[in-house]
Amino acid sequence: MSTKKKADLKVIILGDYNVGKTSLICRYIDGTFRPKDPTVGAAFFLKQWGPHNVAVWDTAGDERYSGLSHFYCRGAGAAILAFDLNSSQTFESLWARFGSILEAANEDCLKVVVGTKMDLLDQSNRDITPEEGKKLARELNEHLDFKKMPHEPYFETSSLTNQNVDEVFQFIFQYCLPLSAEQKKKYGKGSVIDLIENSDEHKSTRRCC
Amino acid sequence: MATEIREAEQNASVSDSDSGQSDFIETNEIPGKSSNTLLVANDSFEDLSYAELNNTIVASPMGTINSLVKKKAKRSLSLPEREHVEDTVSESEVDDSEVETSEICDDSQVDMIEARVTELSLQETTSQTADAQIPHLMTNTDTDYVNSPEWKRQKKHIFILSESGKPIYSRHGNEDKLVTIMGVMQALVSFVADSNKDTLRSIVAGDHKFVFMTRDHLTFVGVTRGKESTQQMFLQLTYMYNQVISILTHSTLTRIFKQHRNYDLRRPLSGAEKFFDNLLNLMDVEPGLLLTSVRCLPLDSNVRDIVSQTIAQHAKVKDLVFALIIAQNQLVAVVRMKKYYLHPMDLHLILNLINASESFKAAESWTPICLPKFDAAGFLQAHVSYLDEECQTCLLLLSVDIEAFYTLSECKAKIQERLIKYNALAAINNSLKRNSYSIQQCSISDLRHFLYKSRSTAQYTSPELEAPYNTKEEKERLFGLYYYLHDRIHTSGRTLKILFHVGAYETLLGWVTTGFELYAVFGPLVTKMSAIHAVNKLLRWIKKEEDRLFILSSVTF
Ligand SMILES: Nc1nc2c(ncn2[C@@H]2O[C@H](COP(=O)(O)OP(=O)(O)OP(=O)(O)O)[C@@H](O)[C@H]2O)c(=O)[nH]1
Ligand SMILES: [Mg+2]
Repeated sequence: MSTKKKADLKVIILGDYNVGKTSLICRYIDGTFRPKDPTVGAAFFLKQWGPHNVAVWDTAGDERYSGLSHFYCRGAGAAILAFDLNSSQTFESLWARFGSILEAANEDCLKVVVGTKMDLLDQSNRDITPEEGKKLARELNEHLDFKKMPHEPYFETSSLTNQNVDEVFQFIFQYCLPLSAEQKKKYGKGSVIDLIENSDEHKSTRRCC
Repeated sequence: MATEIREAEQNASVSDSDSGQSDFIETNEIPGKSSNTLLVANDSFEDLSYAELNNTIVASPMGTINSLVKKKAKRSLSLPEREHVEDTVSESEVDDSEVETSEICDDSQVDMIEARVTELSLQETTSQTADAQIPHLMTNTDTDYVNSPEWKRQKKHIFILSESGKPIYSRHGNEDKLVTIMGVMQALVSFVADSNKDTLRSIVAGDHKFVFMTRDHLTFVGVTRGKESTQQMFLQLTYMYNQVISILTHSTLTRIFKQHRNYDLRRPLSGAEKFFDNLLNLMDVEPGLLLTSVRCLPLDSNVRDIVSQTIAQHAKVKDLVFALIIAQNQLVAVVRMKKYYLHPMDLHLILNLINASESFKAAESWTPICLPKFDAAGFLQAHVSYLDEECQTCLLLLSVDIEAFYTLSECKAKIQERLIKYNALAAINNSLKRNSYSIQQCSISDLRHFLYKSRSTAQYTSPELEAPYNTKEEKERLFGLYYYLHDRIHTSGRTLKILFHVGAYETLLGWVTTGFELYAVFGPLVTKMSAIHAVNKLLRWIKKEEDRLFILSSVTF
């Protein structure tokens, strides 16, 4: 097994195809929003959080790749369950498809329910209410102590407008790998940079888009 | 053919009257020849036949991947420490464990799909009855669509349908709107099968050819008014079939249909249309698929050696079967596990995967791929990454171990670092920036273009497409000439050795020996004699350049 790249935390993102998983990760990692092709298989990103390495696995929503799920779920400390706020079917899939897949993750895996494409949502005509989202998030995390969380593990985001995107990842990282205020200061804003950019040999080979 | 003025076909043995036997190249000088095999195609275009369909792929538990994984299971079982055996079963069940571990790779996926199949069979029946209630509506919109000029204008249609006539894929237009026409196709196929115990292969109607291929409960139909022969269309349908297998594996496909004859295959194939589309587009512009061979990126042989040696050295990890570098659809280097070879048809599926997937440019990826010639029963796992910032040079590491990602990721980092240090990556990029080579470099007057395939290595070379073949129409016409020449040489009853054809705008010379296939396009006025002299000169030129144009040595881990 890898020593150099061994990460302190593994975060995976699951959800139906086209809900905006890759867009969410790329918005967070490079701060950009560009049209994305559907993911093929699973893609690996490495991020730094303070002194820690975090592995982020983006996965394809297409069902024919479900054979890989065992591989990326194993040892996951946190899972983002993404659905499109404008499609109740993608919300139902979180239950129907991904519940059993996640049994391979760590026992204390933090599950964060994330609604995407907030910018397209007509607030007066919602299919899924925030209460339903929160309810699912609570049910998925019954094993966890909510008092340790500053927030319920439910977010509504837009990768287009960058709404709530950083918050999702900060919430997960802070819960799984808590940094003291002092540490945060020390690593500053640069705590969330690509590891590969750090090695001087080859600069920023990772472009998300 | 109306444009034909005169044509001579002859066997090499009888054509030596004026050109002289001495003009024919001696066998040991075949350009691009190597006994050191890298790619292996032990089947030829002529072997491709309907008879072969029923007995080629037998999903045996003794598939290549299984035997590789088995070896691994044995190896880990023989280790004294228990933790190395964590994924296998207890030692008391050694015999069974061979079978069980061997299923790790592919069966988790298979099970998943099967679970979905069972789950969906209920929905299936409901939607069917819904369809049955509105047959008129369906038929009307169908007819309108099929009669639209846009749909009719298309030069080549490719369809995939299930045994029951359910649409699975159509190259042009939404397959949903083609229910009726696909039903007709299936009716034709079944009618011939049922009433005569025969197989429908092709129908020629006016300038259209309809070619049918049924395989594993799927029917593939190609309709063209291009220059492809029925045998060449059959090859294209075979590539499509291979692409289906590459996504699902043969075991899954047969299992699905064994359980639910009526299953809608579009579901497990959802999102895979781009692979079919891309493959078909590739077939229209890339002669390698017709020749079942691949093109190599021209590179100094010492640079290529550095690349393959670097891979062999830094990716020497267990369970890695193939490691290859690909740039713009060309092969840069391949390193393989001893005893295992890559088939050019499988390599085209790999090229297609890379070509059709923008998402690999974002991050290191890990994805299953089945290579039907290597083993149709299971998946290999591909670690895919680009080595340069422009995302042109792609490294693929194919393993039988689904857990190998992190190990391979380290290999990739080392390979990348070394290739940068030795300037090999820069050399690859330079070669990509330069055009491959111009026909002028061969300095043979009146030779306009050629395809040369070295049979022993399953590689081919050809110059850039230059004027007059630089417009879409002219490129297509040139491709048509190659289709014609290739077909005449290979499928006119007996395999011809030499074919000299004078057309309205160019003269063609095709020459096939046990060592190579050459298809050359000259200006219209060239004589047979001068054409034969010219190709001999060309062969000498290719011979001189062979180290750069072909991969002649095969590196193993
Ligand atoms: N308006 C809007 N569109 C979005 C947003 N996020 C994603 N999209 C669009 O939704 C489509 C799918 O986005 P992806 O990020 O590729 O979706 P995915 O979940 O990664 O899809 P798969 O990889 O196929 O599983 C793209 O066309 C995006 O541009 C968003 O926040 N707002
Ligand atoms: Mg994606």
